[in-house]
Amino acid sequence: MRDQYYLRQFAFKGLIAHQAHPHYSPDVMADYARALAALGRGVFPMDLIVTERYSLEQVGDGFEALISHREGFLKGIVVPQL
Amino acid sequence: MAQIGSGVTRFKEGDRVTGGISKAFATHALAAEKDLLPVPAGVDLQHAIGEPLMCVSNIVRAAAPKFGDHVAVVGCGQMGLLAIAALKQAGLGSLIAVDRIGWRLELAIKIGATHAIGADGKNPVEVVEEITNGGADVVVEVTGRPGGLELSADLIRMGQSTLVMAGFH
Repeated sequence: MRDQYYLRQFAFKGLIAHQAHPHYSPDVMADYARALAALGRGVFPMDLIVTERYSLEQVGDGFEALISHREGFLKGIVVPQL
Repeated sequence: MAQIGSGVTRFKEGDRVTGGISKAFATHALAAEKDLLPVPAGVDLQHAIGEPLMCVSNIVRAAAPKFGDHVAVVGCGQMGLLAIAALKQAGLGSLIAVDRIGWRLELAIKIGATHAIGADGKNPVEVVEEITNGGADVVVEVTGRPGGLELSADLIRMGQSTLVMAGFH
């Protein structure tokens, strides 16, 4: 993977960049609250997003699937008592 | 919630919660009361992945598209698709999903994108210029890769348009 960034277009376009790392948030818990409220309203199609489930013993398999970029893999979750 | 400490007032045993918890590859984990929130009733606990959803809230609040804006999301993995779900609204000019992988773009359309581009060999910059008449007003970058960042700046309209960098940590 390249590790060089050509930022000429950043300057040329006169864009405004926001680095939306959690540290960008003025109130992380307010973002949790908004996100969970939206989840409760059905905003997020989690049945389409959570594509894999792993037990604690299968966590290694989960990371291997994550880096494999195989078709159909979006989000794996760990379910301790699968 | 298996057990609560003394002084905890917002929760009781048996509550369903999520939040920012480190050291959580375990059957049980210790968390501070202030870092937890209740999972809404009716939501499958396996869908209550608090941290990524918090990030989506942060990303979409940074994007803050205005009425009629053309919005492009570059990268349609789980975060890009969740961002599309949160961004979709009737007032947008368009909500354009960009990825190189066809099945992800199909999901993006199913979730609410108005256009899905990047997997058919056409130049996405030209396609977005055509859809938006000059470039996207808001671009959300979710690839975390130099090429994705550069493409995002290529897709954006001239003059104080909003680029949200969500893929870089």
